[in-house]
Amino acid sequence: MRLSYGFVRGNRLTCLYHGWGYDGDGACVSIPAHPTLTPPKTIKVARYACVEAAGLVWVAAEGANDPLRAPDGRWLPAQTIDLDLTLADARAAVAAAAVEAQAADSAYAGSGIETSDDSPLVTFVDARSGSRVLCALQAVADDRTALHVLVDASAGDVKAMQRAYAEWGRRIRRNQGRASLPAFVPPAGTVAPTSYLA
Amino acid sequence: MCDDQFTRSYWYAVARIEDLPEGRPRATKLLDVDIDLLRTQGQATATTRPSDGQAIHLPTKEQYGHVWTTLSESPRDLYAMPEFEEPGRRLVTAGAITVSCSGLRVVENFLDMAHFPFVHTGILGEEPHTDVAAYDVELREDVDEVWATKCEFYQPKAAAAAEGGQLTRYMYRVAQPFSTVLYKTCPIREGAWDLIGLFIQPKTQTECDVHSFVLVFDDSNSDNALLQFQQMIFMQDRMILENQVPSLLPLDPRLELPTRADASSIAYRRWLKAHGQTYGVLPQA
Repeated sequence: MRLSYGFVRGNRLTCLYHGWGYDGDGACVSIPAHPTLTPPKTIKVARYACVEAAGLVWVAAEGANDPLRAPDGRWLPAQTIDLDLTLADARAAVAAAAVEAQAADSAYAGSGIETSDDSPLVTFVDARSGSRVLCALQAVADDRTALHVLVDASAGDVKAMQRAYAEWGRRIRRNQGRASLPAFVPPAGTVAPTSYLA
Repeated sequence: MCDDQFTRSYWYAVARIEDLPEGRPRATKLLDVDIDLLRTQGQATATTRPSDGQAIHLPTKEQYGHVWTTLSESPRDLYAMPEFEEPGRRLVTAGAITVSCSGLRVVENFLDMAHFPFVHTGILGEEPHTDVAAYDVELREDVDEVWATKCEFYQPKAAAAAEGGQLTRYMYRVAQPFSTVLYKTCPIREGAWDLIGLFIQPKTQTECDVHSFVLVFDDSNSDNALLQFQQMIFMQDRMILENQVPSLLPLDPRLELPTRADASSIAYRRWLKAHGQTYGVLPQA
């Protein structure tokens, strides 16, 4: 059973199956089936370097030496979506959806999509608000990728942006594997406020 | 192809009796072999479906509410549960539930009390009552079965008929590598055991159909209520089972660290290893 199915309680990562608790060093500190037992020091799980930046938690893959290249600015989460796609296909799907998002306002002529073949990040500018959107791709398995969508915290109406891009992310999931994506329409009730159009 | 002679030597439940009515064939699988089940003139038959060559008729029997078959020409006797003959008991069977993992993992999870407060929260266990007290484990050599006895665990709602929490007493029995029964304090009848069991049909090494039953004294709950209670518990277990990594059962004790609470699991794995179990287990490094 993977610890990722577990829960955090009192600063301990706790396994869902039998409730074994692990501290920040990865050492097992409690075994509920034996409450009076002090767990042997040999019960330890692997620990990975971890950084908080740009509204996300970043974990270094085993053996990674490169410094973290997180985007600048403050970001707020909109949605995390699981995609049944390879990292490359997920990046392509996100980039294609980003084009649609920009084209939603024909008057938009700002900077384009920023990504590269070896990057886990895609950023672009929302056509209505002119504020930035950050997509962070996490390769979960060979054919599964998690997509974390964040919006610029300095956007005019951040809550509307979060709602609109949560739906935008879900739409990528619904459309995964399709050749072309239907036009992006913000969900009812989340029509961009006037400040977006300024 | 399963060449594990220990695994091949047993009978396996492949359907509930009522799920195999006259003239309605069912296709299934047992130990990687495709099998057709059919009832003709009241008699259940099982036939292998080979890709080439002649279909082979397999022996069948109907017992404990299920149709059983075996790939062995000289199978071991199906284990005895005389409680099925006791008057006043109710039998409820749940039908086949497919689980994507080794059937041996399903048995081992069934033997485990330590997960109750975390997986069956508020039903079979509840914090802070997480302590697994020491219990006895024995290999009964006369019947070649593993038993765990004098097991005790605090349960908020031990059964559909339970009102409030109780300290439940258990005995666990592993009668076959892919079949296990628990004997549990009956909440409404002093001194009686309720039986809950799993007849696991290994279809492949990493996929099984679990045929479960409850055989209880219960005057108040409908069959449907008993069934729903069992299904609720089993669905909670299935979420765990299908996320086990690896889905095969490791027999190497260094791979999954046991504690004293796992004494039954340790005995079960040793028993499998002593019999040369290869089907559904992680190959030894």
